[in-house]
Amino acid sequence: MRVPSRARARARAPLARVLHLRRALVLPLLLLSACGMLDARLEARTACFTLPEYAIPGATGTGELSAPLALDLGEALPFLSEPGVRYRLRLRDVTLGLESSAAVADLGGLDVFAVSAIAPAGSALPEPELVRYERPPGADPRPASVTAPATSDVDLAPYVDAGLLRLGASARGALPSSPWRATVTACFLLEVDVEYGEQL
Amino acid sequence: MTLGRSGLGVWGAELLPARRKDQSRLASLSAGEQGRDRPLPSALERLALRFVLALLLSLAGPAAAATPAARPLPRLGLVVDAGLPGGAGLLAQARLAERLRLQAGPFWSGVGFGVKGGAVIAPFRGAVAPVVELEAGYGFRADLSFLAGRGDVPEELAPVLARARYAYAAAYLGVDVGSPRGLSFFVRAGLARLVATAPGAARTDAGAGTLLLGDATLDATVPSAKLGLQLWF
Repeated sequence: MRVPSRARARARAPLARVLHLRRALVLPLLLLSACGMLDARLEARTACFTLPEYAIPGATGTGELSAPLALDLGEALPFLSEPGVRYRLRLRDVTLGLESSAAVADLGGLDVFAVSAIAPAGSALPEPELVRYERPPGADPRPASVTAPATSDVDLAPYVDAGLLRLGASARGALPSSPWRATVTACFLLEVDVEYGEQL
Repeated sequence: MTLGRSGLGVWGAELLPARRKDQSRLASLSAGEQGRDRPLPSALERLALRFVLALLLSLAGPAAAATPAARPLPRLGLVVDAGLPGGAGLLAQARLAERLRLQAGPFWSGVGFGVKGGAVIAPFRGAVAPVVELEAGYGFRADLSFLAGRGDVPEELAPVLARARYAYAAAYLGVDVGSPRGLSFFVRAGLARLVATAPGAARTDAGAGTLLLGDATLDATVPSAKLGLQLWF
C-alpha cells in the first residue's frame, strides 16, 4: 500500500526534530570549545607502575650495572592515545624493593641508583636523569628497599612511543655479579587535558 | 505611564492572528488589502510574537513597580529544579531585595546527595523576566562506579569511583516566565567549573606489571543548564 507523502513526512518529523535538536545542542558546544571555554583536566597523583620480579643483570667488575625498564602505558591507560587528549607525565620516584625470598638479602651494598629517560628511536630528545638515590651516611645498613626521588621535572609524554615508555636504570655499589630480581615501582604524576572540540 | 495588561491585550489582538472569529477582519486591518493573500503566521511565529509581547510586559514591570500603589513582592518561596551539574533540587528561596534572591537547599545528582545555593539577580519584574544566577554546590558523595568497565575506564577502579565527591560553581543566564508573586517557570543555561575528586587508588594490569591508579582530581569547565518551578508565598 502506498503511503501518502504527507503521512511519510509526518512520520519522519520526530526524527528530523531530534536531529535538529542535536545539531542545535552541539553547535553551541563547538562554539564554546572553539573559544577555549570548555576544557577538562584530570590529575592522578597516584599512578604507580609495579614490575614484580624484574630481572636485573649482574654488576660489572667495577660494581656498576644498567638495565632497561619498559612501562606499558598503552595497555593500562589507552585513553591517552585518543584524539583531543594531551597529557603530561612526570616521574615522582622509583622504588627498588626485594621480596623476602629474594636471592639478595638486602640493598645495603647499593651506593647509587638512578633512572634516566630513553628517547624513542630516531628522536633527538635529550636523555636526562629523572630520579637519583645516593646512600646517605648513617642510613639503614640492611634496607629491603630504597626510593630514588625525582631530580628533574621533565615531561615524559614525548618519550612514549607506541604506548611504551622506556627508561634506563643504573646502579653502583657492592652489588651481586650474577643476575638477581627485584620489584621496581615507578610512581608518576599524570595530568590529562581533554579538548572537547576534537571529542565532539 | 503605566502599560497595563489590558493595553497590551489590544496590541496582542493585532499581532496575534489566532483562532478568533474576527481573525480575518483583524488581518485586513493590520495588513491591508494587499496582505490578504499572505499566509497565516506559523505556530513558531505566533510563539515569537507572544514572547516579544511578554518581554514588553516585563520591561514595563519596573514602571509599574515604581507607582506608590505597587504591592511589595513576596519574600519567601520554594524552588524545584533539575539540571546539570546541579542535579534535582528542592530549595528555599528568599527575596532580600527587589532584584536579588538567595536560595539554598539539598539536591540529588543521580549519583549522590549534596547541597547547593545561589544568588539570582532579576533586574526586571514581569511575566517574562531575564535573570542572572550564580550557583555553587557540593556533592557529598557521588557514586561514579557505573563508569568502571565502560570505555577506557578500568573495571578495577569501581571502588574508587564509588567514593567520588564534587564541587561546582556555575553562572547562568535565563528567564523566569510567570508571576513574580506566585508560580513561575524558569530555564537557564551557562557554564560551570566542576572539581571532582576520587580519593583512594586501585590496581589494574599494565603489561608485565600492574598499575596503581587513583587520588584523581577532575577539573573541568562544562556547559550548565537547568529548568524548574518557583513558588512564592
